[in-house]
Amino acid sequence: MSILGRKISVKAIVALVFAMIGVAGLLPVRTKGQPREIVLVAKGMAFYASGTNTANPEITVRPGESIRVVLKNEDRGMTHDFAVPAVKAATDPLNWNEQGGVTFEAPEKPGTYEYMCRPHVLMMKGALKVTND
Amino acid sequence: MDIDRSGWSGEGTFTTALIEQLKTFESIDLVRVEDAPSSRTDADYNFISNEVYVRFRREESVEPARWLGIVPVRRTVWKPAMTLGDLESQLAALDDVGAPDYADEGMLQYLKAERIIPPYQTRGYKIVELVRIYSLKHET
Repeated sequence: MSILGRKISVKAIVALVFAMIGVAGLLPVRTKGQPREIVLVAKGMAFYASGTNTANPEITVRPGESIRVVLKNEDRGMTHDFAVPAVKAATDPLNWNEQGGVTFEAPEKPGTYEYMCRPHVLMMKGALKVTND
Repeated sequence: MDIDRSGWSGEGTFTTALIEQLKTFESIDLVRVEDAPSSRTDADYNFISNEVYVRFRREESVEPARWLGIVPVRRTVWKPAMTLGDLESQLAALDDVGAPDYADEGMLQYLKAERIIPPYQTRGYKIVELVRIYSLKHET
């Protein structure tokens, strides 16, 4: 085999690949546990944290935290979803009595981002607060 | 026809128009209107959610039957003079109401939205009115 006019043997390529694998094994790997699950219920054209009465509650997460949002659609006759445009994450559209989830990593930069139901963004949107506190 | 508005704040122009139309249906003997708990107001919108319960008049009907599965008899049964499906078709034919956005065997749902721009404002706010109609059963 010839690259840039130099001949490289197959043995050299194999040795290089093994060397790269070896080095990769020594690199620190960022391990992450199971994502934290947040259960939301869609009803009356609003999101509610399961078991609470606050419409479109603020969701607080840590920078880069792995989150799984499970949405239960209890809004008869309505199709809802849950989306966080800042991280391009969204559930599939869910019909009444359906449940779906989406796993995403919170933005690394602290701040307030928006979550929403894309078909009903006027009434179904809330704050995703990313903070170290 | 009895109309029970005791649980209703009176908000909702579509709901008002709907009730006026329901009053004309002879097959309905009770209409009850209530504010739904999900009604709320925000800077950008006013969400009005109302629930309307209708009870259909019952009609006597004589049907053939068989006593002990053998002897032919006639029995009297009470049936609703209308179903929710009938109501849906009749409301759909009315200009003030129209077809529901969603319907199933137990509910008709109307979702109306209108942007209101008060004087000297450019953006205004949106009024969203959600009305759900359910059928009430007669107490036995």
